[in-house]
Amino acid sequence: MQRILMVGKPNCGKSLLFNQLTGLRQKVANYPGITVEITRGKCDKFELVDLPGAYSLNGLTRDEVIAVEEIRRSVAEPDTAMVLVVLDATRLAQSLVMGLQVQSLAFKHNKPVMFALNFIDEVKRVGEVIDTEGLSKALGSPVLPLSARSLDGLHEFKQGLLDMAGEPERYATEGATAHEEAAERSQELAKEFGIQHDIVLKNQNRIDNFMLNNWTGGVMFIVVMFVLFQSIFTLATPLMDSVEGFIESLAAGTSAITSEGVVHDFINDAIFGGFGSFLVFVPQIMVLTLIIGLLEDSGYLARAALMCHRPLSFFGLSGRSFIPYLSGHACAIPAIMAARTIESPHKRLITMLTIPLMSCSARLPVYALLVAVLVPADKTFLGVFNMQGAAFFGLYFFGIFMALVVSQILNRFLPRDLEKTDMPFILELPTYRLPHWKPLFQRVINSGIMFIKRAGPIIFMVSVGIWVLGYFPLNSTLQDSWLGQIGHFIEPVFTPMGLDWRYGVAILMSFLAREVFVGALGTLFGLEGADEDVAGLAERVQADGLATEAGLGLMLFYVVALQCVATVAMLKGESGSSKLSWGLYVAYGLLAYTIAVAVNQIGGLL
Amino acid sequence: MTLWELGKSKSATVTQVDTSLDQQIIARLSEMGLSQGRSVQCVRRGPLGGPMVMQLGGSVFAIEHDLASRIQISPTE
Repeated sequence: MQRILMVGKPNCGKSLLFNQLTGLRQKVANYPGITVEITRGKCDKFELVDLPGAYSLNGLTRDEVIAVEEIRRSVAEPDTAMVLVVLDATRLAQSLVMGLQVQSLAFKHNKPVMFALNFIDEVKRVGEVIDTEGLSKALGSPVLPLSARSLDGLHEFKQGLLDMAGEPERYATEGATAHEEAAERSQELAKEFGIQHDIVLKNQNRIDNFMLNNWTGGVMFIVVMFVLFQSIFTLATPLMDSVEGFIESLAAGTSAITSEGVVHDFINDAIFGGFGSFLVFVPQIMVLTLIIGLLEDSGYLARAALMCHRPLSFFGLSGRSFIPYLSGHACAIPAIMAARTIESPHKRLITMLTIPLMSCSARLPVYALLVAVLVPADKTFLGVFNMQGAAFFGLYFFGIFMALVVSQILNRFLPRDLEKTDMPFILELPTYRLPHWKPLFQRVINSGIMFIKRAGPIIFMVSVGIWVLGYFPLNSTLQDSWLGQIGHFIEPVFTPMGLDWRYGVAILMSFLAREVFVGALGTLFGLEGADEDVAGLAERVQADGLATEAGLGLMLFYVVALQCVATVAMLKGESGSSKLSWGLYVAYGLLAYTIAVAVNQIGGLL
Repeated sequence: MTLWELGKSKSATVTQVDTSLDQQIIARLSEMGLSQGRSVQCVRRGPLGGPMVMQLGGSVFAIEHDLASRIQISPTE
């Protein structure tokens, strides 16, 4: 199939135009370890390829270099019929830099170029006109005005595009001149054909006067982040419950048709119980992706990054690390994906490696249990705050504190990619725009698919592994299963933490996912369904006599330890390094263990 | 004076971008419109030494101290 390539700078409305031309069926290819994403879809009889957005063909960071290589390679391919360059009509100078470079590259390979002048509705709204014919003549390639949002001019544009792609020879580029000095030339062209910036920017600056003001901006920031955080729980919880309900009814349906025995238990406990509990997180990941997408497409994300930059730069992080950190309090997986917006690869890596220290929602059941065991419910702190609430706050705070400390250390010692330059913080503040549902919808769906693809296989293997260890020898209880035997055998490891083998087994099992801890401990304390009866389990643990210092150490262990193989799988996919991801798994495990032992030992002395 | 010293709502022309910066970064800045002879306007100053916001051609950028202090400007009326 002949191909049409689509290129343009970030924020030029390329994804929406792509969606309008191809409909919702598309394929996304991700490169491991970098943010480069290529989307393919069908437009009439052509394949439309949405290449990664870039500011220039001179790539700076590793991601940019790879994105640019991909653009160069795709343009040279014989199947490529033509190149479509998307320009932002309200920011002509900026989008022409990349546009001119791509045009010159396409001409070298004898491929015709068409320019789509997007956001023409916004130009009209401020009462300006762009002389597209003049611009077309000056550029030496057709320029078609359109708005992918209001659909102005889209029909004519599509016709023109298909005509050109159908007969690329007719639009021969021989003898066409391309301008090498893109930076200079784009300024000249923008001066001649562009619109009055002040009019367009007046609106944006007025909103910014409010959004970036020291006081109103600060309040807005807190409000936005609070809403974001709340909606993760309020929107995602019912969805997660319905997925859980669905899996349960599916399990009930299949267990009705399988007879009692190993196969029955395997399907019920390993497949539905283990693997199913991982699918429950898919809605949460999608909701979070939706909210971050809304923030990004509306233009607020850049402002949030600007406001957070100064305080976070003390710890070797970027302003853009804030949203991933905040998201990490719901789930590390979408948070790691959100780190893609960080401009500097070094800071992006540090952010990704410290996100797992944020107290994600899977730790909540564990915290809830241990807080109930250790902190009396009727006590208040300073007479106002509920002591249990304060304990929760303390745990969250400890996670953030650890993340900042580790960031600082990583910033000092992590080797930088010396061959590639790190971009200093210079961030475009895009126009405020109402997000369009189509590109958002795509992103949300893709985040779910990517999570299942990357984390699914490993979660499956671990759930089967843990099930086998806990199930065999046949007809054994968890106590005398292989897992129980291992627990007894390695009890000396947990003794310095002040814990016996039962906690050891529950900790081992929670390496699949943290929330498993509560159910496993419940089974070992002879309480079925402890997930629903945390208070009942807490009473038994109290009666059993868990020392305060050992309990505190265990809580801190759960703050620090990276007990989530899905996160490791995601880190591996995003950093491109399996050694780094499993290394982090081990390192956080050791750090957590050291902290727990230290707290227990010191607490015992006091 | 440097870009970092530019007050709110004041305009200036870029006179020089620190040549000790990485060549690739200088090239990128020039593609963004930040090079000798271009005019910039400070839109707002951040609190506590946070990034400043400037208007450059048709776009608005936030730029941090480390970079802004390496760009020489001459103020215009």
